[in-house]
Parts: sequence; structure tokens; C-alpha cells
Amino acid sequence: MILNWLKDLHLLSDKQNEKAKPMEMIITGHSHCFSMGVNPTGELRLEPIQNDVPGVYGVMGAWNGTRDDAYWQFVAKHAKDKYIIISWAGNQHNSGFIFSNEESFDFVLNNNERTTITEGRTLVPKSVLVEHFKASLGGLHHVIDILKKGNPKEILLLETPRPKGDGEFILPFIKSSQHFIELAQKLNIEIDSLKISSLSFRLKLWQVIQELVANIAKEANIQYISVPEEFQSSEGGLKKEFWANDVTHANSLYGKAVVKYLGNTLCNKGAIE
Amino acid sequence: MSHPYKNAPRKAFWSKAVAKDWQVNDLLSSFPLIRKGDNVGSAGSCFAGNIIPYLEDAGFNYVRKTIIPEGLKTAYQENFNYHTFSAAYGNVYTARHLLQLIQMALGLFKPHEDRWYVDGKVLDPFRPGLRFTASNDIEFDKLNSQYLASVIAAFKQMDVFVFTLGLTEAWVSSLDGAVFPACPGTISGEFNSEQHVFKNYSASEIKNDLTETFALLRGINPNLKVILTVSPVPLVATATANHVVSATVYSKSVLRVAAQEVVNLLPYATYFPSYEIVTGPQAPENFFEENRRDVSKQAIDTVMSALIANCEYDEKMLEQMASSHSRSQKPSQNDKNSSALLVDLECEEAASDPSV
Repeated sequence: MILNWLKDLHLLSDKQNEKAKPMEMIITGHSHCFSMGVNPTGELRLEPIQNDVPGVYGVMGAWNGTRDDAYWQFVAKHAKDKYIIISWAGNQHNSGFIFSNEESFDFVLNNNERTTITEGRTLVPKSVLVEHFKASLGGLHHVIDILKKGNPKEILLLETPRPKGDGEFILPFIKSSQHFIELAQKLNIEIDSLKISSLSFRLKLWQVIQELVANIAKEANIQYISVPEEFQSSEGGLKKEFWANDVTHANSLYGKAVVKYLGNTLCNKGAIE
Repeated sequence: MSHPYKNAPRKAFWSKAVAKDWQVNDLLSSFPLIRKGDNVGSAGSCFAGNIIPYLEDAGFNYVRKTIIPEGLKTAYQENFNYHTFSAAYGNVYTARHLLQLIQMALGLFKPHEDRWYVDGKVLDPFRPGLRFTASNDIEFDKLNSQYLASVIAAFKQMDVFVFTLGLTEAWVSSLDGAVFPACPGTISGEFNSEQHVFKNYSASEIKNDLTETFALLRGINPNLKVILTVSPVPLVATATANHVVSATVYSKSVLRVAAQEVVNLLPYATYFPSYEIVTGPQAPENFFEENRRDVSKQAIDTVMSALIANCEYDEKMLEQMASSHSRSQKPSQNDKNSSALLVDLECEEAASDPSV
């Protein structure tokens, strides 16, 4: 009985400590975390992010298009008792599918009688897309394993931004990007004739990616966290006010809103004004 | 004294046409098998898959209705020849399977056992080795309906259809006679001894199935011509009580008889002697690999050279054929491997041998 009492006391004291301790989170991952205030330059370092939410850190450091083990080990070193937010990749629905001539197929997204398939398109099994996108998510389990060794409070996989809906907005960025110009040359495409694939097409692809990320979270026994519906446009894409001036990314307004939402969700203390 | 053999051609005599001066082209009597500009399609056993690259190399237009989107080409690598053929039906080993395929595509037959649910996937019992499957009934129905429509589209576009008869032995559903390309449980699905029964088709059944199939196909494509051939590849296994060699000889004999009877009956059907070229006593030993089942690249080259030599082609096609032939004179280790792969890995039939 005394033992039980001691155990209860111990638990109580843990809970008290938990309440007393301020929430701390580290924003990590690929390029979509830049909108949340992560600075992609300089040496690898942990710095507070200038935001309305206290206790938010970013792993700052030069960005070369990927994150290697050294980066994740650095995160793990600072992870103890903190929430680790991973923003993993998130542009796979654009890569290979952003031009209208690439929108040649459709697929059944889910077991829903009302699922619509665009007339005249080749129907491919969704499992092909799963196979296609799996490669870009291959390293995630390994990264989660590294992070778990740092004893974080919790690891969360964050929904990456929805696709942008307006081809006319996106096109000028494509036409001025050296990467896309080279790609178009390689594919023998006249850059002036380029058109952007439909939002509904990219959105469906994005949903497959998010399902895969959510499944990985489930397998790794961590949480997948979606952002609120009010961040979406009426068509389900990213709300226009959150578009960065480029092809794929969200802006800092979005990043701030996401961080605030994460703060609210993780602290469970109501709105942060 | 006069008698019927007196004026028979050279090819009628073993001593003149086989023992001496063997000419593979003597086996063929119809020219041209395929005309310049013809759209060609094919189906049949795994041997049927071998002819496709040769036809394309020789400049013929092989009908293809399975489109792999550009952005998914790396991921969308199918198994078992499914995407090799004019539509993604994969290997069609029996005449009944071909008939059933056309009946299903035309909406004339809906098998009772039309899908299998395995590990959260919905599988097509008639394409059991498909790598990319549906994950729910809605997706299955939509994919299947697109596939069956592509079958009809392919046959409508063909001028010539080459069908390679592979097997007489099959497993069928006791519920409605639906025939499976592989015994349930070997590649996918589950074997149910009450529901899945063995069937060894007779020559007359095969003849009837083929004539019915071609009547249906001519209904949608009145000018379609048919080339029938028999696969020289022996059975991987038999479900009869016979030795696999006896079962093979029986099976191939039945197929050969059925093919001839169909050709005798239908003026638009021709027989092409793949079986004779590869397995006849005149064939060199190296037409089969060491296991005496896998057909060698040399054999396939010989068969295809004979086929193409009896088609209408222009000079350019001839050059392509010659270059392909010269390649075949020096088989490399890779050639051997790919030949073995074609037979061992791309035939669902091989799955019935647990040692493979």
C-alpha cells in the first residue's frame, strides 16, 4: 500500500513538473520548414524562431536540398523533452506532375462511391503512385529512429502545404527558374507553351503523399498532424494568402499560423493571441 | 505407273526436305502472313510474348492499348508480361481463357468468382500476378472496366491477331466454368478443392472455343485475320496422373490438331509452325536450354526469322531483321539469361512447380 502511495506520489509529481515546464518544440526537416522561420544558411545550430509562440526552435543551417544523418543526429542531441516537428519533403506532387501534359492519368483515391475520375484519362492503380512516392519517404523511418534516441517528448510528422491553385501565378516562376528551363529543354518542351496541371490533379497526388506520411507515423508510433481546414482554399488547395512567391512553397504567414496552431495543439491551453 | 506421290513437291519427302537441304521456309505455305502496314496484336502463352520485340524490330506496328504515363514509368514495372501484350491480359494459356476474355470484354460473361480479397487487396483471378492491384471494390471495378475496354479497343485496331496455344490443362471454377490462367493458390488467391477443379480440354473443345472466339472478334472487327501457332515450351507441371513428358506430348498434340481443324475451317486463319520448327526432329539440340524446357534464343530467332521472312516487308525492315539475326548468331550470356527469365519468371505457369 505504501508502495502504491509512493508510486502515485511519483506520478503526481511528474504531472506537476510537466505542467510547470514550458512547451518547447524544434522545427526540423526540408524546405517547407523555412516558412516557419527556419534559416537555411550558415552553420548547423539550434536557435529560437522569432514567432508569437515561445519555446519554438529551429535547426538552422545551410540547405543543399537534403538533410543528412549529421543533421538528424544534431536534432537528436537537442531533442530531450522537446516536441520534434518534422516537415518532410512535400513537393513530390509537383515533381513530374506540374505541367498539364503530365496530367494524363487519374486514379481512385479512396473507397468512396462518389469518387470522380476525369473522362479520357488513363486510370492507374493507386498502388503505382504509392510505389512512385515511396522512394521519397524511404529515409523517414531511419530519421525517426535517430530522433527517438534523443528522448524527445514527442515526434510529430507535419502535413506539408497543399498545392497552389493558380497556374497563372505559378507559371512566371517556372519560366524564370533555371532548373525548369533546363528540364523543359531536356523534355523538348517549348517553355512558352507550358501550362500548369489542374489543382484537383495535384491535390489528389498530395493526398496520396499525406496518407503515406500518416501511415509511416502510425508504423513508427508517432503522431501525424494536419493543419486546420481554414488554411485551405474552397477548392482544397493552399489558401492564396499563404502562397510564397515561387512554385511550390508557402509563405511566412502560413508558417507563423502553423507554428501557432502547433503551439495551441501541443500546449492544449487554448488560443495564443 | 502414276501415283499421288509422283508429282508431290520436294517438301513432301523427308529424304529431300529434312535429311538433306532443310529449309525452314518450306514449312510455310501462306504468304504474306502479315502485310506491310498491318496492325498486329498477339496473345497466348509466355512464348507469345517473345514475338513482340521481333515484330517491332522488323517495323510492324504492334497494337498497344496499355498506356503507362510518362511520370510513372519507373514505378510502373509490371510482372508476368502483363503490359507486354496489346492489352494488359498477360499470358493466355488456353483457348477457353481467350474466349472468356473476349466474352468478359464484350459483357457476355461475368464470372461468379470475379475477384479475390487478399491482405487488403482486391485481386483479379484472371490476372493473378498483377503487381499493382486495387485496394477496394470501387477501384477494382473501374480498373477492370478500363482494362476490358482496352481489350476491345486493341482487337478493333488489329489487322492480324497472332494467338499462341500453350496449354490444354487448366483449373476452372466449379460454379460457372470460369477458367483461371494459373491454379488458384500458386501465384495468388487460395485453392478451394470444392470450387476449383482440374480440366484438360479436348481437341474438339479447343476447336469450338477458338471458332467461337474468332466469330466474336470478327463481329467487332470483320477483317481480322488470325495466325495460330503452338508454343513449343513443354509443360512445367501436369495435374494429370501422367508423366510430364507424356502430358506435354498429349497437350501439344491436342493443340496442334485443334489449330489445324480451325485453320481448315476458317479461311481467315493461318497456321504458323513454331512448334514444328523448335521441336521437330530436324531441330538442333541447342534449340532448348540445358533443362530441355526453356527455348533458347537461337530457336526464337529461327522461328521469328521464318515468320518475318513470310511477311511483306521493305528493304529497311529486311536490314533490321538481318541485324537482329546477326546478333542472334552470337548469343551472349545476357541473351541466355533473358531467355531463361522470359520462361521462368514471366510465366505464371512456372508457379505451379514448387521447386521453381
